[in-house]
Amino acid sequence: MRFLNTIRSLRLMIINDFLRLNNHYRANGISAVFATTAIILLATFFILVEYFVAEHLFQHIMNQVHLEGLRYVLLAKLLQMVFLIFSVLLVYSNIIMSISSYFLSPEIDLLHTHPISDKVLFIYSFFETFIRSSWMFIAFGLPILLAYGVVLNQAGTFVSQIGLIVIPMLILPAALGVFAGVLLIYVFSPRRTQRVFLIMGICLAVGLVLVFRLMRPEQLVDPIGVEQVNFYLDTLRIPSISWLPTTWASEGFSAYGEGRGTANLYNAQKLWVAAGFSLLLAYISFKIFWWRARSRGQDSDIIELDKNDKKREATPANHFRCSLMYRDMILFRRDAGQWSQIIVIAALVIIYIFNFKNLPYELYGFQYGMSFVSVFASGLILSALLARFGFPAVSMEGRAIWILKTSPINWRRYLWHKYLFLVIPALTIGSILVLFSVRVLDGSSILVLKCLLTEAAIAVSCTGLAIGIGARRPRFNLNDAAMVTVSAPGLWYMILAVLTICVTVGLVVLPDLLRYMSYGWRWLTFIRHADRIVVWFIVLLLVSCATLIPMESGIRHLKRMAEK
Amino acid sequence: MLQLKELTKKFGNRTVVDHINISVGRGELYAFLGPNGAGKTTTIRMIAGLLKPDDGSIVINGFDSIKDSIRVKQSFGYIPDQPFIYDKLTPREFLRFIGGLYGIDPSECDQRAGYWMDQFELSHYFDELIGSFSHGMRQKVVFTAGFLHNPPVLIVDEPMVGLDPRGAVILKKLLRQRCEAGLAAFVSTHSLDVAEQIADRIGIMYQGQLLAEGTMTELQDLTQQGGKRLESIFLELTQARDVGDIPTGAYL
Repeated sequence: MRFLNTIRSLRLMIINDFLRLNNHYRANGISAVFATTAIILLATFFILVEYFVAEHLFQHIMNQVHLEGLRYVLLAKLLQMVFLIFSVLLVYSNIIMSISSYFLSPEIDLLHTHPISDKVLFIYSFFETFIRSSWMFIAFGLPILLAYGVVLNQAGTFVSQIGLIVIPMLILPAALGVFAGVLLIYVFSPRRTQRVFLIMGICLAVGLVLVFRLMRPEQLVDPIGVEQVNFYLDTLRIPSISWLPTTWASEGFSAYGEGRGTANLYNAQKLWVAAGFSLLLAYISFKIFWWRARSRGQDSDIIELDKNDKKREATPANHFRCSLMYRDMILFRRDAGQWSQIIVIAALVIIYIFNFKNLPYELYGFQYGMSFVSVFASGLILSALLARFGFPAVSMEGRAIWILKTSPINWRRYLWHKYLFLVIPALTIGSILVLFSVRVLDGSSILVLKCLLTEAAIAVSCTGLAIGIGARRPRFNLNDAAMVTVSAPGLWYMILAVLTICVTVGLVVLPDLLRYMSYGWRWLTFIRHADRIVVWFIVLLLVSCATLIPMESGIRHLKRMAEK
Repeated sequence: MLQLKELTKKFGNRTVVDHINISVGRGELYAFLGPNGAGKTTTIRMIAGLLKPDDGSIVINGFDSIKDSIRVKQSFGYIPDQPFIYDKLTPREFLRFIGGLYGIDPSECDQRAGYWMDQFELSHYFDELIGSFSHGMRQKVVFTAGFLHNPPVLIVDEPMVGLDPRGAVILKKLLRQRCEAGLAAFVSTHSLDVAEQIADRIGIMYQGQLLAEGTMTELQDLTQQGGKRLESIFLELTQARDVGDIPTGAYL
């Protein structure tokens, strides 16, 4: 009874986030509702697109009647890919979340000072870890599985598979995440959390690259094109080790799709046993190590300075901008969270470059077109990077914003400093991506120059958009400033950034496209010789507007904020 | 040095600070008292430029806080009640950053920072991360930052929170010394003892209004409590219920 009463009380803590959301709506009225609706609509759009793409792919494979039984093998391989990718992400996410829930969360302090049993603490924190990590799979993994069920005419009984296969597949990484998280904090002194995060970031980066390259997804583009079926299956090289739970999950699903009930239940059984066992393992590690790890973890967000750091006497110039630069660089260098994310981003960039190199260009057409596709894709990568590092730049001042508000600083110079701090890395990353892609395509020097200028225009504009819009609605009370991106202004930034990238690439490509088309349609001849300078002038105008308007708006807002 | 004229702040329909007038002269330490919710922190935040007054004006060192905000900010040091500072910087790095904001030469900044850190007995922690500091140590770092540019006016919100007894004594001594050297200090506090010991003048705020102000003797005369301590004066002025009336043992 006492246990149930405790659990009933904990309900309030679990719904605390929802209550907070409710208060947010009450405080911000219609704008908050609008923002949430926009985010929900956008997410729904992505989920629907994902569902239809998956359904189309599954249907395409099922339509290859001449492949006969091989169709099911291909579908199973695809499912294995899905489970494998999500499992890698889920394990990583669960480790991070378990460290947060079991060691860093303020609620755990509150609970720990009350007469609550270890079991309740474990369940509460496990539930928190599970929910915070698994929503990603629920939102983006389930549509793929549903598409699979629909294609195989098994959608009616799909719900049963959520209970049989999906839930243990989510419990398993959550329990393993808790187990690994507790051990990591126990082994590494929490003072070295920075290193733990770094190691985990590197592991994920390497894991992602390996998983992607081992699966060779590009081979699925044209299965019939490969002459020898055995050779084809061999080239897919998806790890299908029989004791991997991802294999049980995909085999279970395949069995469900093909109507093999016994095999479906057998694999589900294995998954549930594994989930139960991993839960037990997590609980045992919690019982043995948590309290000891936690005792050392009271100040886990503190990192130690090495001796060189202490001795470093680099004297910054007394210039205001240098002073800010000096602070920003040190804070960035010592922020473990930023570094681990940079490693993950670096891995994604490597995957991009690797996959770009391996794309079958002959399928997509000419060199010119592909070069600008690469500019567009690099632009999207940049805009995502800036959403993570540029948009929260002002919010990252956090609760220490009072220092700047009460100092005699010039907000214009402050925001332009933030801009300069980010535009240089953005230009560098964009240039590297474009140079590499166009070089792979053997593009001419003129093409390389054109692509580089376009990418530079995108980098300059997107940095202005990110910093400017981010400064309009900063939030200084967040524990993780990066979360500010998940908001209506963050959504606006992404929409405007993508629009800017489309318009910029479109403008640069337009004269050549018209020229190309005018060979077929004589009426277009009059613009064949349209001066490219006009186009570049419009691009310059666009860059200026996309940079100056949000920056000025951000500066005005900061001034108002300082004077309010 | 610091003048508040008809200063008013409303949150919705509620007037939190209601037309208050305060003047703090050079070399004077003004203690600002009041029960919880009286409007002390709101007043302090308006003086520090963190909140805009709805009415009235704030003049610091001859400059209007709205018309000449940059010069005003050059003229004061602010110590908040919650010392939120950068956990991942050392005091040396933090103070250099603050010095940069005020345009102080780095070597001069290091010298001044060293002096104040020494005064607060924190020299040994100059190159340790602030994240490992206790609340009181952070408070001392913030005090050092506040003194760094030698401001003519110091605004302090709850100076003694988190300080150990020795730290509190050092701070009281330093505040007095600086005031004798010409600093005008505006100190909001709940500690009546501190106010009694170090303040030249005391202002008592209640429900957004300044109920009374003056020296200790003037306040005693005002309440006709000659020789009584500040605690009795404060309770009488703020119409607090006699603590003896508070029921006890209801659930025991």
